[in-house]
Amino acid sequence: MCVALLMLVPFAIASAQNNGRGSKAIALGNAFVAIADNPWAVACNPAGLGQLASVSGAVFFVPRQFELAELKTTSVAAAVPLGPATLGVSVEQFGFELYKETNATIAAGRNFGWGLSAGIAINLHRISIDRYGSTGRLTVDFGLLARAQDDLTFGFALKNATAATIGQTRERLPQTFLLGMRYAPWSDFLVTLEAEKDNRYPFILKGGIEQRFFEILSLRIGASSNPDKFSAGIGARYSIIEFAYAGYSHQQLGWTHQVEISFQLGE
Amino acid sequence: MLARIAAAVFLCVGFLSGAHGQTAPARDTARVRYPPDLENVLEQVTLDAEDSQLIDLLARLQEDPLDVNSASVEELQQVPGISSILAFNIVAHRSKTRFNDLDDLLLVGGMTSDLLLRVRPFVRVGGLGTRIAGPVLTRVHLRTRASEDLERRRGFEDGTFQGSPLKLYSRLTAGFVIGDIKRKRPNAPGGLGEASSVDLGIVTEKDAGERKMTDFIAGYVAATIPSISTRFILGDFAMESAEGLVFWRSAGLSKSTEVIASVRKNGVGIRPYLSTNENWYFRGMAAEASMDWVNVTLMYSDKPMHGTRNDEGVITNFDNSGLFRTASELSRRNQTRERLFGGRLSATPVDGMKVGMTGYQARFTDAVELSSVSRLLGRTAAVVGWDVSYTQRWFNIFAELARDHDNSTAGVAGILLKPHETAAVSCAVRSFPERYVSLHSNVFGESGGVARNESGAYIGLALRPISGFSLSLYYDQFRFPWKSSSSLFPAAGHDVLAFSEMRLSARLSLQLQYKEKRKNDLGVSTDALGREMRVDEVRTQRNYRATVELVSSRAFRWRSRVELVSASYSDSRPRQKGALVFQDIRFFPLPRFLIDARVIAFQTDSYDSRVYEFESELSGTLYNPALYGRGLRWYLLARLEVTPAVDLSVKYSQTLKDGVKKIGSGSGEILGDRERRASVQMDVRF
Repeated sequence: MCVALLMLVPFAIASAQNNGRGSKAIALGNAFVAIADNPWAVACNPAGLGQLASVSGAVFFVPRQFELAELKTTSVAAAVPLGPATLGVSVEQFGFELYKETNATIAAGRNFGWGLSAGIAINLHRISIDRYGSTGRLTVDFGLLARAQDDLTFGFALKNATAATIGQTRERLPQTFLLGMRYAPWSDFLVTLEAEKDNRYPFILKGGIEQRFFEILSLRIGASSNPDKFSAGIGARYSIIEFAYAGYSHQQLGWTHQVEISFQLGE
Repeated sequence: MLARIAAAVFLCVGFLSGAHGQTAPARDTARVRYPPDLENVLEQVTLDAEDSQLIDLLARLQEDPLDVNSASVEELQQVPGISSILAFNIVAHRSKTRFNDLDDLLLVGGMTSDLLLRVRPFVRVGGLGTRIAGPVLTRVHLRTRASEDLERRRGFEDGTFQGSPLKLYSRLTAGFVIGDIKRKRPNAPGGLGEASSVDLGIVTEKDAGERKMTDFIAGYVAATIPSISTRFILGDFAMESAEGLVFWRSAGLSKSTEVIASVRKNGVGIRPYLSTNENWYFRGMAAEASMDWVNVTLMYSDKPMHGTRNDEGVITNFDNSGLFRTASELSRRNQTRERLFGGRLSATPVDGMKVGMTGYQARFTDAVELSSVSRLLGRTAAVVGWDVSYTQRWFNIFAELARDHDNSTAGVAGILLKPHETAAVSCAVRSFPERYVSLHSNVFGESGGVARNESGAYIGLALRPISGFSLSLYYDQFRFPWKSSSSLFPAAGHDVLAFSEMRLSARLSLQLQYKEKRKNDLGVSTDALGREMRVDEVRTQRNYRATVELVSSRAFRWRSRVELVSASYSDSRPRQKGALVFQDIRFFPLPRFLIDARVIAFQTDSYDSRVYEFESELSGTLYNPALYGRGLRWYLLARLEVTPAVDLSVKYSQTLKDGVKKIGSGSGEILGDRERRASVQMDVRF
């Protein structure tokens, strides 16, 4: 039974990862690797931390994924600029009393000053099942951001670069390749496109659009393939606080709603 | 563990060197020697094999660039991207005005700033006469390289491979000048300079699984005596002449995005051999002498050849692998001996015109009946060829005819036109009868350079209608009049390429490429009853590729690529698809330290829809792996200048495939889903 449990681990971790983190990312179809401009860069593309010049933090909550109360996610993330790099941390818990996944991440991102940012994240994945125990594993992610011009940025991230294994059966944790671009022809409008390849599954294409109004309100829509999803969201900013909502629709499994509250000290 | 070490290196480089990163120098100011980007030119010739001589040639050109004030037309044409017309125009221009700077090349008709950027690593402007009293040792270069697969292959587990898994390569070259170093005499045929010099070199190689550290050894001593316009090579050498119908190295450039320059070969003559193809070179002596407008080359070679011998003692196949790891492979070693006498006579009767005659006679100690040829070769092979070319400022016509000792005649002819600065055209026709046998040839064509059983016509067009936009196209139609490796019957096909490069801004460029190849293919299909059948049908492969490149402040280069592959069949087999995405980054975190990293994600339906990605490698090697199945590959290449005389390079790569229990087959099989390789190289120069 323990063996069977441990064999489930990689699939469980993958499912949690695929949900994405942060309302902005989810509303944009999870095409966030070339944006990564908030504390959720820790989980998506640690190079994005290099863009963050002030202390910021966020709490993200998914009460019922696919309308199932058992699939609940709570995440917390923060970013703190420290000398040559910006450090980020995040903690996420997924599941319910009988089954829980916890992911803790510490990351660092640096802007090298020639339009290139790079970052690294170290994750501790832990899974526990009531009465059967728990297991955990460290993985390493890398990320890059390149600003081609003021309105065009490319982003790249490799998750689980070392192809870590977990459990007694040494099952391989998923490796994920993310490559995307962000195009913002106007200061209040952006388009993002992204390709994702989990080494176990076909390519996923993702895209999203964001329009901001009066610096306080943001409307976001997005879509992704394999499986087909449609997403939308809204963000409202007041002073240093932003409230955001995002929802996505899975063709077979239905809607998932999530909310977030975040802050940013300074610009 | 090594993966973690590589990750740690990346981490350290990225963050501990941040202070340097902010003031990272432009690439030109860093002394680390880095191979220029040759993917567009070399990708095709490295698909499933390796042209080690070409790699060595380009590495040598990079280490010792050609002096544009003295190099011959043939020498200049060795540089990828320089066509015969452009080489002629460079030589014509300098006869009036000497080049003082490489940027002066932009004054030559046909040279563009983009092309100059590509050829810059291979050329230099020589000084008028730095005088050094000889004799003096001018250069010493020692290169040592070791690489090893970190997963154990089955051949090592079961004892099939007799040696260790370590692959080793060592090379030493040195040059002496006897007398005074002066500027090389311009236009000297064969590249003869004005100072007498002696060069020597030796290379040893051991492939993974081979027993001896010196499984392969090659070497030479070459002397150049300008006072009598003569060059001698004693030891191992290669010979290239005209269009390759008689002599060429074992592989050569083929169809590529250089749709104009790649058509014309124009051999450079004899050259010392230090590559690792273990069969197709010469061992003996060669001499080249120049007398005004006439050039004479004579050569004699006597060396063992590796091959397969049948029960009757007849050689049926020459070995091209150079691998001697197992008892079976060792049985192919030194199976016969080739004694060859040959030469070339060429003349330049008027400016721009060249005529030549080349030939050889080879005798083998054993009868040869190659399984790929429909006639008995016997113990003797002989070929004689005639070639002519005429070049002027805007056109070049060329032709070579060759006849073997069985009176089969093969021919190549073509014309390059550059009627305007913004347009160039190339046309070539070829005919290689099924019975034509020229063992030392390598030609422009569809069959990987083999000058046999093929005829075809090629048209290339290069346009540069506006600044920052170029379009290259070729269409090649070919026919195999006899059965071939891809068909049991006579067959035909075509090959089309469209390549466009757009400069979107000063730092950002986009490349789009479409390639289509229609050709017969032998495969296996299953009928309605589940029975396997061998099928011979027309296969059409289409590749769609988009590459974005960002060069930022010359401190780093970002390259992203998406490629889709589709292989469809005329009859029984279902269409096969494949896709690849990669992200590549190259940057200098420290002034003397270069990082080159790439991550590749791929998914294909089968091996038949495999995708390739041409990789950065340690200097002197190229790698273009075929990726198939589902997986992810990454590599990290680091080059550090330890001292001004010592460079250290390290490469680590890892391929992870999903859903497989083993990778590869036979003795090369790896149990598991991961394949890793580590390589290290040291270059010492004085």
